[in-house]
Amino acid sequence: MSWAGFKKTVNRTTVQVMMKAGQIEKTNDRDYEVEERRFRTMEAAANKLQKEAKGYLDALRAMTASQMRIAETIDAFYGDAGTRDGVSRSYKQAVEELDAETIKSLDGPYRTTVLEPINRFCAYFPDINECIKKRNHKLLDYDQMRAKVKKLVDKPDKDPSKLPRTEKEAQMAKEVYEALNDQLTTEIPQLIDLRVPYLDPSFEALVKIQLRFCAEAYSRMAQVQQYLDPDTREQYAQGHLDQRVEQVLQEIRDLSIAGAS
Amino acid sequence: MSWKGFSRGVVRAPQSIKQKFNLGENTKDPVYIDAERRFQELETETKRLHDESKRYFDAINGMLNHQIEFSKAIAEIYKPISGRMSDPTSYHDDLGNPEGIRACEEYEGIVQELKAVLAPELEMIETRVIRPADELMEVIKVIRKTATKRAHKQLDYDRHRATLKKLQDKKEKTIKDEKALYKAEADVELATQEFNYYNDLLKKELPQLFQLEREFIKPLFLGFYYMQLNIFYTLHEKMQAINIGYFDLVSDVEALFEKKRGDVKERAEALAITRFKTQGHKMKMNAKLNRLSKDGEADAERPGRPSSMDSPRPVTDTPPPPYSAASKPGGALGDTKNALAISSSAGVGRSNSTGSNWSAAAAAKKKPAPPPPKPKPKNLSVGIEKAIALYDFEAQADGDLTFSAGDVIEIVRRTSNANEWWTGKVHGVTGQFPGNYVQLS
Repeated sequence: MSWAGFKKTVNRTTVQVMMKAGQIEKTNDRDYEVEERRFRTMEAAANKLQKEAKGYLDALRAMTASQMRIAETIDAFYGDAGTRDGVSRSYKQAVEELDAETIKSLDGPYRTTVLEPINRFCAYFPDINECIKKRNHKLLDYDQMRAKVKKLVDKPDKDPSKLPRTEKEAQMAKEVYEALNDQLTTEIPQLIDLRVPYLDPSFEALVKIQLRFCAEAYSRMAQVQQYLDPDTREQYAQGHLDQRVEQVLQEIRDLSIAGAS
Repeated sequence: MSWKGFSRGVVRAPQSIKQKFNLGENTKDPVYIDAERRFQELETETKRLHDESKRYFDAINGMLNHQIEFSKAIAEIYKPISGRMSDPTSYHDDLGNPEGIRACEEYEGIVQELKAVLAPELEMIETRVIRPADELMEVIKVIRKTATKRAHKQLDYDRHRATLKKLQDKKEKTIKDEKALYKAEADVELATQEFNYYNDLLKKELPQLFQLEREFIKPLFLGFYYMQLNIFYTLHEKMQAINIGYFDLVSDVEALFEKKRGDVKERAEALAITRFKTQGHKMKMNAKLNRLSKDGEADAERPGRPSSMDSPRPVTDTPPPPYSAASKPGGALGDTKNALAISSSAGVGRSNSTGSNWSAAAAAKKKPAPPPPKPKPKNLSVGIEKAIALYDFEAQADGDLTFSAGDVIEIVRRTSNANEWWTGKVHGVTGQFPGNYVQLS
C-alpha cells in the first residue's frame, strides 16, 4: 500500500470509530442500500451457479475416467487369463470412445454455452465490489468533511477563511461520492435486470447437453451387447451372475493357501 | 510382533541380507516366481477394480447432485430479487422469470426422480461389485500371508543349507563340529520339508486361484456391464422424456444459445460498474491494475477488455481517455525536455515517445527520478488560460499535478493535442497532468 493510501485508511478508520461513537453523522441512502442488498443476493446465487456448473463437468469427467480404468482393469484380468473373447475388448473400446469422443465433443459446447458465460458473469463482481468499496470510502470522506463544516459553524475558527475552504472541500467530497453513488444506484438494477436473459440460455444449453450425453452414452454402451451371449442378460436379471460370483468366491476361500486348511 | 517372531527375524537377518545381495546359494524356483508375479498383478488389479467401482459410484451420484444443485441455483437467479425481503410490495419492480422457475422445478423434479430410480441400481454396484471385490481382497491378503511364510521358509532352508555346507567343508572336524553337523543335517531336513510344503502348495494352488479369478471376474464384469447399461438406459429414458415447454430441445445447442443470448453480454458490459477496475474510473485504478497485470492477473479471458495497459483503446471510448501509467514516459529521461519539445512541435503524442522499456522499468520501480525544471511560462501577460478538471487525477510520479474533478487549473504550458501531458498550476502547485483530463475554459 502506498503512503497516501495508508494515510487514507488510517483517516477513514478514525472516522468510522467516531461514527460508532456518535460523533459524526452517517449518511444513509436507502435506495442505494436496497440495491446493494439485491446485488449481494444475486452475487451469492451466481457464485453458487458457477460452482455447480463446474462440479457437473468434473463429475462427468470423473465418471468416464473411472469407467475407463475399470475397463482397463477388467481387460487386464481377462488378458492375463488368456481368454480374450472380445467382450472385454469391445467394452473397453466403448468406454474409451465414450471418454474420447462423447466427452470431448461435449466439452467445447459446455464451455462456450455454460461455463464461460457464467464465469464471465461472476467476473463482474470483483469490479462491482471494488466500486462499492470506493463508494463507501468516498461516503466516509464526505461525512467527515460535513462533520468538520458543522463543527466550524458551531465553533467558528480564528481563521475566517477556514470555513469556506472546508465547505468547498465538503462540496467536492459530496460530488465525488454522489457520482459513484448514482452510478451504482442506476447500474446495479440494470445488471440485475440483465441476469435472467444473461444466464437463462445457459440453463437450456445445459439441459440439452445432458440430453445428448445420455443418449450417446447409452447407444455406445448398448453396442457392447452384441458381443455378449443373449443368455447373460437373463442370467443377470435372475441373479445367476451374482450367485456365480459368490460361488467362485467360496471356492477361492476353500483353497488351502487362503487359510482354509 | 511376538517375541518368537522377532527372534526368528533376527536369526534370518543374515540370510535375508545375503539374499538381497545375491550372495551364497539362494533357492530360485522359476515356476513359483512366475506365479508370484501373476499373483502380484492380481492383487493390484483387484484393488483397482475395487477403488474404481467406488469412484464410479460416487461420480454418478455427484453428477446427479450437481444437476439438482444447478437447477436450484438457477431458480435462485430467476427469482425476483428484492432488497427488502420483508416487504412483499418491493418485489413488483422485478418480476424475475416465473416460467424459468417453473421449468427449474420441473427439471429438478425429473432429476430427483431419476436419482430415486437410480438409487437401487447404484446400490447394486455397491453390493454386487464393490463388496465381492472387497471380499476377494480379504482372501488375497490371507494368501499374501502364505506367500510371506513361504519366503521365510525359503530363507530358513537356504540358511540351514549354508550352515551344513560350511561344516561339511571343514577339513578337520572336532567333536563339537560333528555334533553341530548332526544337528545341521536334521535342521536342513526339517527346513526342506517345510519349504517344500509351502512351495508346492503355492505352486499348486496359485494357478487354481488364477483360474478361479477368471471365473470370478467374468460374471462380475457382466453384472457390472448390465448395471451400467441399466443406468445409462434409465438416464437416457428419463432425460428423453423431459417435456418442459420452456426448453427448445430440438435446435442446435450452440446456435440457439447464441440466438437467445443476443447482445445481453454486450449490454451488461456496457455498464461501467462491470469494468470498474479495468477501465476504471481513474488512473489510480489503472495503475493498480497495471501492477496486477505484472503478476499475470490481467483479465486475459475477457476479450472485451484491454488486457495490456499499453494497448491503445478505441478513441470512441467514453472518458476517461486512454491513459496509463506505463505509457507515460518517465520525467527523468535525460532528454525529456527535448522529447517534449519535439512532441509539442511535431504534435507527436507524448505516449509515442516511449519506445524503450525504460517506462516499464520506471513503472516497476514506481520511483521515477525528479523531472527537469519546468520551463517558465513565457507570456504571462497574455491572459492566463484556465481549464476545469473533468476527473480526479492523482500524481503518479514526482512532478505530476494532483487535482480533483472540478478544480480550476491554470495552464502553464500546453500543446494543441489533448492526449499529451500538459503543465498546469493548481492550489499553488505546478505539475504535469494528462490534457484530456481537463476541459479548457
